[in-house]
Amino acid sequence: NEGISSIELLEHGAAYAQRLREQWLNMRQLAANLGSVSSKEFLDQQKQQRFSFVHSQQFQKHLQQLRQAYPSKAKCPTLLKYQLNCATNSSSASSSNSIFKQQQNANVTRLITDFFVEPHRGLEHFYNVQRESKIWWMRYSSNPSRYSIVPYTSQAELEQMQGYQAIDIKAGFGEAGDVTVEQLSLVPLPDEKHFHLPDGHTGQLQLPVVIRSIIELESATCALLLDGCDHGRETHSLLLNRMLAPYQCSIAGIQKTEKSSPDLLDLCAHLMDVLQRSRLRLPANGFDLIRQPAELVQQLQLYDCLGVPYALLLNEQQSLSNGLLQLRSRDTQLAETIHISDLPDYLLNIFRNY
Amino acid sequence: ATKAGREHYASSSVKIYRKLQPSTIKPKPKPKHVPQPASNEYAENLVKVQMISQNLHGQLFPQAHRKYTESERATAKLYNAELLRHGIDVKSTTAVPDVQLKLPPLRGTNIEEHFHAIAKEQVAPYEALLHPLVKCSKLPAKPKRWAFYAGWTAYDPEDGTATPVAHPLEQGIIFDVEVCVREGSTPVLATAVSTERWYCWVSPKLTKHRLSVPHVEPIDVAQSDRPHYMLDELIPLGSGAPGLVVGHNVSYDRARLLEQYLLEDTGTRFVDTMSLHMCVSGVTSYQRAMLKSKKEPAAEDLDWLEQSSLNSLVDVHRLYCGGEPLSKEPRNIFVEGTLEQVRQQFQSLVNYCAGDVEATHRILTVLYPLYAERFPHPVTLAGMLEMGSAYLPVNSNWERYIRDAQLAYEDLNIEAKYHLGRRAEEACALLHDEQYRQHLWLWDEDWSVQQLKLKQLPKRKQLPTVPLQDERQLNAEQRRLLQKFQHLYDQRALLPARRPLLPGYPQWYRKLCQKPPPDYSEEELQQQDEPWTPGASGISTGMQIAPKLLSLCWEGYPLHYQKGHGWGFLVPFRSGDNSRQTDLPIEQLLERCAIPEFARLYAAAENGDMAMDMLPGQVEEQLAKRQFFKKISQRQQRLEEKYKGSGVWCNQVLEDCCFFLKLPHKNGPSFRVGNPLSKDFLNKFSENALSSGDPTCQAASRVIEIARMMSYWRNNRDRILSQMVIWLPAQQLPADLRSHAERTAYGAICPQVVVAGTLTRRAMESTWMTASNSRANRIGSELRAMVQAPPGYKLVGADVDSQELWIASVLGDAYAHGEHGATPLGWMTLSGSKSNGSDMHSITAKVVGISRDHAKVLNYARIYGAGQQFAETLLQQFNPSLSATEAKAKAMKMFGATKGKRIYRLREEFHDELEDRTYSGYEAKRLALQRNRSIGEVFHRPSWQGGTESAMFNRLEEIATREQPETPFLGCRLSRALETRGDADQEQRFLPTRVNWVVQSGAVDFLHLMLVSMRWLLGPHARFCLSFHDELRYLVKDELAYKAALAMHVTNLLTRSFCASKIGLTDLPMSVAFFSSVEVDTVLRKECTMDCQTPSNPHGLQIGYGIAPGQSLSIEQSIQKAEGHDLNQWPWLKRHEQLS
Repeated sequence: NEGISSIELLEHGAAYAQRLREQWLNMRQLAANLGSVSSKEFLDQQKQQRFSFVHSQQFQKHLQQLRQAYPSKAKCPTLLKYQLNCATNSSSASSSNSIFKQQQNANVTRLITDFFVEPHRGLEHFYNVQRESKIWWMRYSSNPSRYSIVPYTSQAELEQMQGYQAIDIKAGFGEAGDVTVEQLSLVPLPDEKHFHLPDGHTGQLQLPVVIRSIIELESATCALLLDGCDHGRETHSLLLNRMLAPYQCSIAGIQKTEKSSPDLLDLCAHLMDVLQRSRLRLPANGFDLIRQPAELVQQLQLYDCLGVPYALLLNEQQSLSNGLLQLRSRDTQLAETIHISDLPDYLLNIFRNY
Repeated sequence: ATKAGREHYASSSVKIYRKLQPSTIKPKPKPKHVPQPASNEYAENLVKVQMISQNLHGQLFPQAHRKYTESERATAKLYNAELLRHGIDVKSTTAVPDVQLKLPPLRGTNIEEHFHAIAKEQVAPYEALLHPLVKCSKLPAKPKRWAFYAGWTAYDPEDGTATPVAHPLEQGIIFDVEVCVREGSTPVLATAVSTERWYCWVSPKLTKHRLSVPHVEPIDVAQSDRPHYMLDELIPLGSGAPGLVVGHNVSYDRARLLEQYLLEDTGTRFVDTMSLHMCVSGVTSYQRAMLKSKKEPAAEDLDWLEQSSLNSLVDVHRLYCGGEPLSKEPRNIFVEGTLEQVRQQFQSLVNYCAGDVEATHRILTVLYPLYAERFPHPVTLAGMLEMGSAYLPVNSNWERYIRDAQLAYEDLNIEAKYHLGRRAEEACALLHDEQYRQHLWLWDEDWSVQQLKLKQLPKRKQLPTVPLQDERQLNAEQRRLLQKFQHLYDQRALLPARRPLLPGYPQWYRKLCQKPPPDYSEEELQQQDEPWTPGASGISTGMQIAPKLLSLCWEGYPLHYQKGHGWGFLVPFRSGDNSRQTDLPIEQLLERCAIPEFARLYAAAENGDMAMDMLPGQVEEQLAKRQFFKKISQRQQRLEEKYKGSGVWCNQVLEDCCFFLKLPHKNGPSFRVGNPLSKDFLNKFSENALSSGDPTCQAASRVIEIARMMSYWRNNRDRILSQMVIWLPAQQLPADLRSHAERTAYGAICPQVVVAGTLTRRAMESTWMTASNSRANRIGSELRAMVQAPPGYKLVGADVDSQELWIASVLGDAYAHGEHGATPLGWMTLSGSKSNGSDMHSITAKVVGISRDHAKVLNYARIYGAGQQFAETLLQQFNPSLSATEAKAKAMKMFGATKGKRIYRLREEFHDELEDRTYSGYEAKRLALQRNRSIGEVFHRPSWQGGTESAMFNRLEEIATREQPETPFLGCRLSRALETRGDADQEQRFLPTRVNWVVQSGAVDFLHLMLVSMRWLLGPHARFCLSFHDELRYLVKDELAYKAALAMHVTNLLTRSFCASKIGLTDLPMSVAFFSSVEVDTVLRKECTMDCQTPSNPHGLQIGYGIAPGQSLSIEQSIQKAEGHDLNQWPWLKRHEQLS
């Protein structure tokens, strides 16, 4: 299919990853966001740090940053987020993500969340975080049962250390294998003074335990994109979650005849403007014009394959006379009739963050 | 005595066999088949069952000698032959090691006297408090006016002066609590009366006094909207001397008494008039239904109706005291009213409460003497008092458990909903070109579509201009476009006032969706709990559309819902032809499922009378109605014979091309399946028959799985959430525990156990006693493990191994041959083993040709009194493909081998006319009819013969048909409502219930005996936790845990010895002498190694909760861990010895 070959996958993938990052930032609002950090260390070395990160300078620096920049949040429980950019130095780096092979020297973005929680409730928090995270992934999926919580395999490592726990959240793709989308570890802190935080309730100083979540943005993005294809439906739709879809709504004007109509063109342009001003994400070309019925089918198929959840169909005959539009959904393959005055609120409601 | 001769003694008592007891002294030959070196501790009986070690026998049966006479040995040959006939090789067993124990000396000369003495001692302090209340014919005068003081107030019996007191001054009281249900579970007021004076307690909540203790923020239960009850909301009774509280359904009142929640038992015990009533006049479920029914009772029911009543205070009072019926009207204020209303009507409500106390007292004075007469053994009262003091320690994990279970439930609910929503979206596409018409599941949904239409423009009227947004922000081009299309926006006024939801979508889908909020604003989002989402957000597994969306199939046929029949499935019998227009997609159905053979027959004969059957409207005019129905049933019968699946015929044909067969319901063919995704249906039938017909639908199996996981929690949630947990403040905890209390909250539940809640006097409680074991696929089924001993304590307990089986079989053994294991059932129970297939279940399994697990169910069903019919139903349930005939044959075979044949023997006066032999039921009926007499006049009561269990059933029926049946162990009488009172006609009535009662009520005696024995061995050092069925659990301090474990083992030994002795046996088999294991654990679970992984506890107890496995101790291990086999070394038993 000619239409599909022209998609710039890399660019769209990056856009998608950007959406995912935004969603990550929105989740667990309590957080102090410490922005982005680049590391010169390679991912391979990072990998060793599932538990030892608490001894790293960076970790201590972040805690210090929290105390200085957000003194009101420097108590237990609290959480801080930051993004770590680093590179891989060998092709077999992502051994845990069996489906994907990463390129040498590819950039890897890790979204890291550190929870500091009361020591005696560490386990309980840890299980809650697991659950919350799993649900979070499930919400973006075309098949929520795809996700499972798998104990971190390095048992030998765990058994030596009391109080340590680790699990991976994996997305399973049948026989093809699975992808780790998030790593969660529960790690006690070394008993050093600068780690002590006051208890949020009693104000007593205590040594918290840390729950670290690591999301590898690139592989998680690929997993979600793959998830969008792996739905078992007859249609070739890419079932991207509507919150994450790079394009949320496309606009198509359906001409009465082969002859182009300036009014229809204007209406398309107007609606494009209305939606864009509401910060809804539209394809770059704005809108498409359909000259014959067969073209419409093709165009809708293209939208479906791009993973655009909704298409606004403007019929030259109807829409220009009474303002009635069709809102066609990728998932149901059906269109509902709405009025031009419903826009943009109707769409904003649909794309409301949940 | 020969075997035949024994049958003549069918109705005599056990005493006859006493004369068979050995008198001559002759050394017993050493057993040759025992490989171990002969020790003088080893003993076996005439059927080579190993008996308790010599030292134990000497202590427990001091008068008995283990010697056999020649005649006994001769008789033994007979029953050994009988055993062999049933495939039992008595030499097939291996010996277990002997056990050395030094028990505390028995009180009295034998084990029977011993139990009487220790129970008497245990109940003495309570009887001393109870008897004055029973004998008190006139209560002190009730005060005219009740004082509105917080806490307890005592009233002078002479002048009614009110004096505040800390707690009632007397130890024996009759008591009633009232709760304002809408305000929570804690009490608002209570009244009590002793033989001296009246008391009233008023909650500080009601008087608006500040609570004595400042409210403490709950530890670790933050962010919870669950009630958090503290100790100071409860009623204090004081501690110190043993107290006695009498009430009706007193466990409800007990759960509101302060001291009951403390870790140390205060010695207060409870007498429940409701339980006493059930002991004396309890009823079966059938009788209960009759009592509730408003219909005129049948003549045969009149007799027992006079002897019984329902369990409420009003009904019980009417039964025993008569007179003016009690008024329950003020009660409504407690059920529906507010605290303010209670305040306003304080006087009348306290009077009402006191009225109930008076009524309870009147009942007690009549009922207790009846009870004491019918339940003469002190163990019975002692056991009931103990059962009423159940105590379940919990901690913060309880709240976490509830939270986790709720969350796991919600998560799975979301997941299932999500899958269904996805399927619904996908199904929408079927609207294109009416593809749904070909869809096997969705063809009969409502696919109609609504359109959004604008109203007509009113003539000569201008539309109001829709105000648009601020144009100043727009550039010139934007402004031009906006103005250009302003007229389109203006037409908003022409939209219908009530906008249709999703115009363009099918009706069934629209029903699942919700209207979006009219405007978009971020603030609104914050306020809503569950923000609106597009799509089928209203869908759930409980909906009728769910199985259709999942394309579920039964035995390969698509599911279909038919009004009036519930869920079923479609089986085609003819292909459609073009002449017939059907809504049903028959072509697609045929593509999927070929016409089965039986249905083909139907279609072939179509031209004959078949058509008439299925077109009742036309036929009815031509045929007499009756004949017509008969024809259908014949036809149906023929079809049913051909059909091998488990669907249920309901004589329904759809569109003249397929049958509709109902899904099977667990309660039988007349019931409808309302939801194939419900618990009961899934549990019974999901094995393979239910599946998705759409191979691409991975969701179906997952949704079925989720539905199964959710069902346990859905069904038990309310009961679990409403458990009243009282949290203990640190100062009320023992000193060792206080340091833990900073991080963990400790509390307790007093389960509301009705100590004799059924006809068999089994205890009843709705949450804990019905709690199933933890299962990997059930949310919240780790419930029992959430009862957790506080640090420094252990839960010690055990399950009595095959308790009911042993009781039943030992009764048969003692009755038939006076020897343990002498009947086939007895031998299998004692010496049979699962490993070599010689236990009862394995043997039944072999005989009938089914699995051992299924055989086990069937065996218990039979011993519980179920008949052959029931066995057939069970067999078909286990194996849906079994035909009725096959099931019947199997059931018959099983009953023949186990229960045996029913035989009749002539009464002596007919010996001249007829041959004195055994007659079958058919013959007996015929002969009696010939003589124009009833069977009972010609024949003795029939008995069972030739089966492994015949002896047992003969014994049970012999007890059950007596005029005054009594349990064999403690001589407890059957309820008045079921006694025959010598009426021969009544003898067969309720017989299965009475037979069942013998065993079950015997098991209750067994439990009571164990409770008394444990108290004797451990005194105040063990706190009774919970017991249900054959399970017993105690809370003990760490340092005493192993001694408690050994005490459990010894308790088993003593209790079984007592039971054996009571039915004329003077020995006990080794295999039942001790528990197979006693669990020493920190939580309440079936086996101490169970990790209780469930969807709500995915990491198990060990990792998830940090709870280590417990220990499971055999008798040898217990002796070793308890530091020696001499119980007399235990400090408190030493002192005991000196006292006695």
